[in-house]
Amino acid sequence: MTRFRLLALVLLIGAAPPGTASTGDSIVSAAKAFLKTSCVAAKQSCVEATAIHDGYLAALKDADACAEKACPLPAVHAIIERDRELDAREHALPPEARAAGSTRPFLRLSLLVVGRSAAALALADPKAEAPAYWNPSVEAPKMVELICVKYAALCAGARGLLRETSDLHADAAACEKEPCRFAVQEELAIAAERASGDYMALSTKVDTYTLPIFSVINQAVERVGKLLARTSAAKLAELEKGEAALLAGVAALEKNPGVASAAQIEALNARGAQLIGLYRDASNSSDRTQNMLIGDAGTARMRERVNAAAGRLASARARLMALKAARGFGGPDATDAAAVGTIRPASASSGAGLGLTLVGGGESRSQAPRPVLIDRRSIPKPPPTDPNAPPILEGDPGYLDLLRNVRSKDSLRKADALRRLGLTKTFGDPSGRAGLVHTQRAPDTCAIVAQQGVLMALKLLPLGDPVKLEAQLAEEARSRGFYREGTPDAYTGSLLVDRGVIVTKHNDVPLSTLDAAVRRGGMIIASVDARHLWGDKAPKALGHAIMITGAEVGRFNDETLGYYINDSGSLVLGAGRFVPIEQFKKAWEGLTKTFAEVH
Amino acid sequence: MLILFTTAACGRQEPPAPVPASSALEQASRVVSAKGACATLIPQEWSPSFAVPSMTGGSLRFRVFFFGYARAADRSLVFHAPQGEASFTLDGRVLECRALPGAPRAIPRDARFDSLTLEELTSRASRLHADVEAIATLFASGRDIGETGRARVAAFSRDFAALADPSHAAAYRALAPDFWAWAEKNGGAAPAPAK
Repeated sequence: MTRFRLLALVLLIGAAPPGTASTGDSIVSAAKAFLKTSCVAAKQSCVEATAIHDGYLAALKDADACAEKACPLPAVHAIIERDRELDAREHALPPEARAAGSTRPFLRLSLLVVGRSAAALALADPKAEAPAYWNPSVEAPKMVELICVKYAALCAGARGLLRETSDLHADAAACEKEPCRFAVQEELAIAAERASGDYMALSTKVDTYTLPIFSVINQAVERVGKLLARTSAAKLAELEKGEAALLAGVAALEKNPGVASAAQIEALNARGAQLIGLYRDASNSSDRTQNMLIGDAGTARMRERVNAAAGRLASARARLMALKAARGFGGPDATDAAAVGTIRPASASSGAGLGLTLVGGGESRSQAPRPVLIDRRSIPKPPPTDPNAPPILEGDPGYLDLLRNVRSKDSLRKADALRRLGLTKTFGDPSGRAGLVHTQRAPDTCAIVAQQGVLMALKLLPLGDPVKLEAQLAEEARSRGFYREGTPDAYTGSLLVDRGVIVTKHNDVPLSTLDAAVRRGGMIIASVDARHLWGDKAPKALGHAIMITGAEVGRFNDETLGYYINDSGSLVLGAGRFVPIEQFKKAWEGLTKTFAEVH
Repeated sequence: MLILFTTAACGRQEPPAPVPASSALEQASRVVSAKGACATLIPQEWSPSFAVPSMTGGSLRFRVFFFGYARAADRSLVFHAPQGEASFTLDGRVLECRALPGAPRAIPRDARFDSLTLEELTSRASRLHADVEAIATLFASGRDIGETGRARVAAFSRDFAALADPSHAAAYRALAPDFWAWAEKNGGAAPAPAK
């Protein structure tokens, strides 16, 4: 323990609030009283508990003496060492032998020893350092006791946090010993993130030394992260294997499309639907481990593999749809629940009020099944081959005005003229998707509303008040750890993935990558610097998520003129608003260059 | 006609100063919230502050805080006090990241830029990022930076104060106390809160 830490403890114990001047005496008498309880509760540990208790008292007596009259430095070091050994022995006692309720009376004795030892050390040699020592699992409970002594109002929270962390370690150990279901591992990951957040909140309210508490939490986070990463890798490997077989089956049918039967196609579709479950688990866990395994380059590579797997799944599905249409078994418009199928049997759950089938998630940490919302209804329809788009500019300019506007420096006017003259082609489905947006109610739900739009397009949301649905989805995202005063980039699209929608996620990519995705015609959720869309003047970027619903591209030079967007945050609702490419580029490059593509 | 053309040529306006290309620091700052641990902790709706260099940890890193925004009843933008912070390297590696607890807290409106265009604002921000990157090299050198270096630090401090929100002054100081202490010793000044 460093001198700084010891002195900090001295100051903090010494600086007890008024009216608690006898804190030291009350700690000693409480420990003595507890010893009797300990011996009754755990007879087999009575001898050891008594030795620990007596050991602390002896160390305290010696530390007091050295704090009054300077002792040789080795003698003070020896007292500190004795205290540490006693801490380790206290830690090894059975819970009923060391805790009265949640209080650790012997550790409070140790706090007194540490405080007096610091004074003794300073007296012996003001420049001396205590011998180095680091054992957070032993020190963390002691630091919680220090919080309880100094901040009674925060005591329950601190103890609860330590208990939660201990449970995390125990649950992680159980999952390491015997593989536990993915749903349980995900709950552990959410709990681990929550514990980190609770620690942050606690540490800002206390001025005591809390690093050991942070360390045990971090160890739990990393442990759960490794568990999740292993599961993610295993699921991804299984997914890749399954995809290889699926694609081989699709290729075999494509070789002789004339003889492919409906049953064969449906069998492959059902197999693809099963693989979506693996994809969903791999995708969610790869996102979560980014925070849990810091510095692990493997997590970035995992996302690339997940994206590649998603692409293959989407490709297999599209090829099967084409086969089905070619054989006349039902074209793209006839896609229905059977095409995706069920991933797990449905349970009679309440559906969270969102009109969806909930699938039981098996046993969970809290013993209540976690609802898993799986896409049972539809797969994205391909965009129309010749889509409509809302007007770029209102009005009805004459032919000569259009010819003049083709050379206009105003890119909106130019794009509008080129389109009216038939010199462009539209990608995506800007008009069809324009109705998917509403003005967001909360300031930080842009990504939620964008995902809400996708779910509406896939008919995965019931008809209803969009603002209420926005709030429900925000609450769902919060419970899943995907939303906290906004949506972190890694979790954009995660509400969709949870429902078995195939989504690829990209970050820090050039505009050309986004452009290629937009031209594929699907719905895109992109992070942008909204200053360039709203015209708001601020020296720093305004982070915002929008849905790109389509693009306008020059018919002969193939240059992108701009994108159509649904923007839930602009003062005038952006429903199919056209943004010229130069303007969009500024918005795109002003922020994280992140997007999620719905396949 | 020749005279007219000549006159026109003499009266020709100088082209505007080119907008600086984004410096490495500016590019790294923009994407930090989507990298590493920040990708799951920092909402995309939070803006990154200007990055400030620090030598905490023994090597040069840059530190930013993140803050959200909302619309007031009159539809003006309202920014928040810092809600998260991160450290990262110039090549974009996130060293640490955390979301700060507590509800968003609005800060007073900074009306200094109402007369500027967005292009002017972004251009000035780009220049400031480039300056921070250059000053960071002086800071990390650990050597006496001489009078020229001190003049640069002084100029940087003025530019920083001109662009950074005064309501975030304390947060900027807390981000990198080692850097601001160095800046103050070398002719500059730490950000001061609004009066």
